[in-house]
Amino acid sequence: MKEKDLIVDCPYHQVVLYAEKDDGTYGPLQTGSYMAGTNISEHFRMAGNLNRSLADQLKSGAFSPIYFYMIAEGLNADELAGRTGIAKFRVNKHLTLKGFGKMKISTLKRYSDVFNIPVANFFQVISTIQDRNWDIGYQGDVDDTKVGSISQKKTKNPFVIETEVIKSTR
Amino acid sequence: MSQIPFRHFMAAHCETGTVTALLNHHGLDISEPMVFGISSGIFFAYLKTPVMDFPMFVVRSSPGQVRTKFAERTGVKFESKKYRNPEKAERELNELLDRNQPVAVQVDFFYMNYFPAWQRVHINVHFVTVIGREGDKYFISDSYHPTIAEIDRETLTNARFAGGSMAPKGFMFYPVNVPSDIDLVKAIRSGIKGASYNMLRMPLPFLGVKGIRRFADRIVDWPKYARDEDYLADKIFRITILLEDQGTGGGGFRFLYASFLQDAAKILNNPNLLEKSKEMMKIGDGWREVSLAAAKIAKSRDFSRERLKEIGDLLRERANSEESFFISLGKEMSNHK
Repeated sequence: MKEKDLIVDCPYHQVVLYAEKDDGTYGPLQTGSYMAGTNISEHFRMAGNLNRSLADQLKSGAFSPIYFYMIAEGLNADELAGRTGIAKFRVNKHLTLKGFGKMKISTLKRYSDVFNIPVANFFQVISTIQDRNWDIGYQGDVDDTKVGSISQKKTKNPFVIETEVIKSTR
Repeated sequence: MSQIPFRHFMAAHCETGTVTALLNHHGLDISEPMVFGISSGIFFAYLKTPVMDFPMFVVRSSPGQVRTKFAERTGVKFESKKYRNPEKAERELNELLDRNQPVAVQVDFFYMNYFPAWQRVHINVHFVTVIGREGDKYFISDSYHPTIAEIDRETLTNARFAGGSMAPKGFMFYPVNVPSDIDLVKAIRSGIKGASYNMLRMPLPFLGVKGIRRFADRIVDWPKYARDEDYLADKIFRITILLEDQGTGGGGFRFLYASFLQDAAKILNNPNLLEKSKEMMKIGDGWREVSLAAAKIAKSRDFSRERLKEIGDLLRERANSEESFFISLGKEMSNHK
């Protein structure tokens, strides 16, 4: 592949590709990521859809917050058991609302360490204008926010509330 | 202490980039493609085990093999260590840094929070070089990051001791002996022979060229593993990410290998290898066609058997060209005096 055919304008995600230079030699080229540059909006809009659909199911009480984060972070029960050091049969229980309700805080902490979130996040779904940062083009607007309000409401999931952070833009 | 003077550069792949940067730091003038080629990094495997929710494929040799094979073929010696105890791992890392020794560590990429959240995924086989510390922060040379990055102590420990498959267990390495008289000709020949063996003669039906054919046959079954359309589209997009964006140098490492063969042709004074490098570049172009086709299908959301079969057909072409390529490359090395 010629260098010119690989150049993508994407300063926020740079990669190194190997390509044919003008003199016929092959060597490294630092350029924008093809995926990020040409498809990222579509890909992350899709990932955003997946997360929103998961969050809706979480709010409806279809599964526990552990299940939500497991899927959102691309893990499965085997992998989660390995990462938390919790037996797989117990992980499977924790994926259900019933099992989640019986968990100790110390066990929740082990999950939160793996998911890299505060324990408190298991108990709320937070909706913010920044959710739209899945759409890279929208990122600039987030910085322009000024006043805002916060509201909390119950969901059908007995463990989870929905926190809405609404910011108005200029 | 602060940063050890270290030449940071972006590289195509984290492990080859880390090994190359460490060798350069220790005075060995060697390129990333040469490290990749000598260690027989080029590979293919299509994997679907009962515990996997979805099939996956890899386009390079197992993590860790770049270092071990390179060492075996060049005589470079690396000190490497795994730990059970995070405190001990941290203490020994600090001692090495205090002695001005940059150290490569294996981490879960998810914790590398100098990248934006949308880029980070749980993958336990990312390699970075720690090049200093100051208070509670460490300085990191990461081949995928344009500049030297910083990470806090707790996050680095979490990353080094993430559990799960291929858990890093605090693994770290650094060169302790870099010979001044490396026999590059011998190392290159071994590297090429190793790559030909891996691609053609591994005795399992999902490895090497057979693995590409299995991928070609099985991709039409992918919809049955997906829980919904978004999930399937995400997995098909990941074909493109894995081939082009996830540290491969483009074309699923094939462009990087072409670059190695071009350099090898000069060192071995073998013009036939120069022709092989051009051929490999074309094979890489073919893999890019697979990437583009996958991105197109994921975007259009047409997951019909016919469309997926189109990717399968492209993959079968790749398998055929790589089979004849590695057969003739292997012969070339056998004939080379």
